[in-house]
Amino acid sequence: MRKHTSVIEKDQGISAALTDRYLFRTERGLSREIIEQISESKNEPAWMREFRLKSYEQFLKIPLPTWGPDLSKLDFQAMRYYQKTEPAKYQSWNDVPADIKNTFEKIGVPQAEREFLAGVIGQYESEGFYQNLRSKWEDKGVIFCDTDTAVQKYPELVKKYFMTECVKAEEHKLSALHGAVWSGGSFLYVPKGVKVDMPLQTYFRMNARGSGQFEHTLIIVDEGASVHYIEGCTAPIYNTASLHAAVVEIFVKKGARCRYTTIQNWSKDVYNLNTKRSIVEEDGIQEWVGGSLGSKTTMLYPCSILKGRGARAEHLNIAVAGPGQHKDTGAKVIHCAPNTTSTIVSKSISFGGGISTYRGLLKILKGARGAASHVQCDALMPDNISVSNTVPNIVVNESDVTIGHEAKVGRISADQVFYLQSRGLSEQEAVNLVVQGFIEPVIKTLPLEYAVELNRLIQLEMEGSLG
Amino acid sequence: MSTLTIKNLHVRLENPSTTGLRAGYPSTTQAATGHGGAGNPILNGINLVVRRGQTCVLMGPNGSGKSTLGNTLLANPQYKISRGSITFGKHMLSKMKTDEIARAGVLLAFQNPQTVSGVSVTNLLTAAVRNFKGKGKDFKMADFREEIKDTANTLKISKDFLSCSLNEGFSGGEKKKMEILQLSLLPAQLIVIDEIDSGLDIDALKLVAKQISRLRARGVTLLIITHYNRILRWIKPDRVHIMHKGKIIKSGTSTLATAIEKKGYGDYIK
Ligand SMILES: Nc1ncnc2c1ncn2[C@@H]1O[C@H](COP(=O)(O)OP(=O)(O)O)[C@@H](O)[C@H]1O
Ligand SMILES: [Mg+2]
Repeated sequence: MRKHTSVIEKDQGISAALTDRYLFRTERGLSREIIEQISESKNEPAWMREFRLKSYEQFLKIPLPTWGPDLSKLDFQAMRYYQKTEPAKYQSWNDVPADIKNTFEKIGVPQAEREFLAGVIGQYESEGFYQNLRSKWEDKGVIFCDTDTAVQKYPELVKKYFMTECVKAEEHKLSALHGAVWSGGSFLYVPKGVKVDMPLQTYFRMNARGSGQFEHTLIIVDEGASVHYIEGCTAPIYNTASLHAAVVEIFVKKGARCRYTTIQNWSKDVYNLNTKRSIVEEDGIQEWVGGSLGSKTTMLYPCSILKGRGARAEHLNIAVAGPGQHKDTGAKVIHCAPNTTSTIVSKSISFGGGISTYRGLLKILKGARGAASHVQCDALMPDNISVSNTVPNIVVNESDVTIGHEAKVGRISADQVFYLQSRGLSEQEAVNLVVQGFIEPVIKTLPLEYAVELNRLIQLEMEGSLG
Repeated sequence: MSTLTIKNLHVRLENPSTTGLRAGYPSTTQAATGHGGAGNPILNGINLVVRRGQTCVLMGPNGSGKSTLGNTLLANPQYKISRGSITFGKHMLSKMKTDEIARAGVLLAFQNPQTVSGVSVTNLLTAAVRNFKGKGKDFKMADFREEIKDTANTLKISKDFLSCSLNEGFSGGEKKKMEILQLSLLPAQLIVIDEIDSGLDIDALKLVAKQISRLRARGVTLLIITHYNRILRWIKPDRVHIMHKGKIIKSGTSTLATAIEKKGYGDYIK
């Protein structure tokens, strides 16, 4: 089977050599000068530089969130915010320097691209280094490039959509930080009526110690169009806390459909604090599919704003929290218009003392008549020392609505393990099978390659969890 | 094929905190709060031999310890062997772990099978079969999948049941059929069948009994636990044992089962 994103176990060797690879990098810490350096290195237009500086001012003013996981150990001045490694964006793997190419070969990227992807962006440290879109889609007007390139090539689109309406810099400390130091990410535009029937994928890779990655992904799916975008993120094992603070903004226009799938597998010292949001217009559909593995602390609540009549959101998420890990994840859906519908399925596995929290917000505004939503939170805990919390917030300001909410905490019982062992499975295999069954509803929505991979990653993560 | 020999077997409930499972999974049956109570003896010196290829029936009133014996054979960590031994051919079952026992060819059809969400019987069987040795060099998973379907067919288990969550929302009878399906497909040498006849209607019972007869014809050694006689209409046992309060109190041939059918246990339990 394919190997993309499966880096953890093979990583140690290859990443050490790559750690200090850079053409230009800023000093550790953050200041106006550093932000200007980033902007200058990218040769950005003045409006973007201004935007960064304004965001930086917000960042200084806004305090860290006081709810959720403990972020007090996050030292913003110890971090390196920008590390450029490549002089150009390559369009062929042949041009990619051998060391980076090897890293991406090892996680199976070029092979996946050949076999089943419509386009690929590879990002290493702060910027994209590789981008390629099959000409079939390019000819239909699809744009798929890294966001830095989009600032240069499609300034009108970027100016219109970049942190203006969907996620604003001043929202919270990390969105402000992101606005100041963002780098890389994907820009995807699908023109009216174009249905891209193969997934597009971006691979992010963060290797440098004590650094931050702040990619900005901007997706616009125009009227009646559809697309499936996949993001895979990995970072090797280091012990200096790194920060990942991405922003994803998605615009689903009338009758359009966007599926955003992400499998994140960060090393266990990363703070993974993201803001992802989609604005969905009339009869549009936004689907979020997420698998959150690794990292030290993850805060992630993809949000769908159902703005147009009949818009729909589907959120499916699996979070795995092992020893020393804290997963604070969930979903937010704001129903603003009549007949909007949403389903949220959130699955979490906590083991070995890991903490996972479902934090949701379901808001139905006045006038969203006929809105319907179903929220289902399932937690699985194979032991007695882990923690699972549910914080579902439901705010309803309209009476003509249908809402369902279910929360279940499942344990792997001794009887179940015994039953499976009595069929010849080892204890670990028995637990794995129960876990597989638990995540099956999410797994089955993934393309086969990812389903196999996610299953494998979760098993790898839980291996040896039986003490 | 080998002989099962149980010698002077004493079994008590395991203290839940010292359960063999390292991760300390909670138990749904909560041994500590059950009727028995932690540490209370359940089996009090069982002696029993089931010769290779034989079919033995174990009868006895409710609560006499039949299921405990079946579970102990498979080393359910809820139960602790305080004295005695269980051997199956060269295998010292009383010293082995559950999965090792299963792989030695000793399988149990549960009185109350577990539900596993998101895992179908096909998932379970394909995962399990890999662990069995001696399934032959020319073993192919695709053939095995076909075999699952064929056996399901003979048991009149509809296709949907092969791909949906195992036992989730199944009726008592459907669960029992699933048990027989699984045991028929794994390379078994000794099968313990615990109360397969309860919850089955007459047609299903006939199907299951036929399947058990097929296993018997294959040379599988059988220990059939029941407290009715119903299934014995189709399966004539070689030996019948009556269990009461954790002991075998009477052994005989199939006429013993007929006698009990007529007069109940009253004559044997004082
Ligand atoms: N897990 C358990 N927890 C508490 N009591 C138990 C447990 N297993 C068996 N017992 C007790 O042991 C005795 C024998 O039970 P069991 O083996 O199920 O009998 P049978 O199968 O013959 O009906 C009963 O008194 C039962 O309550
Ligand atoms: Mg019983």
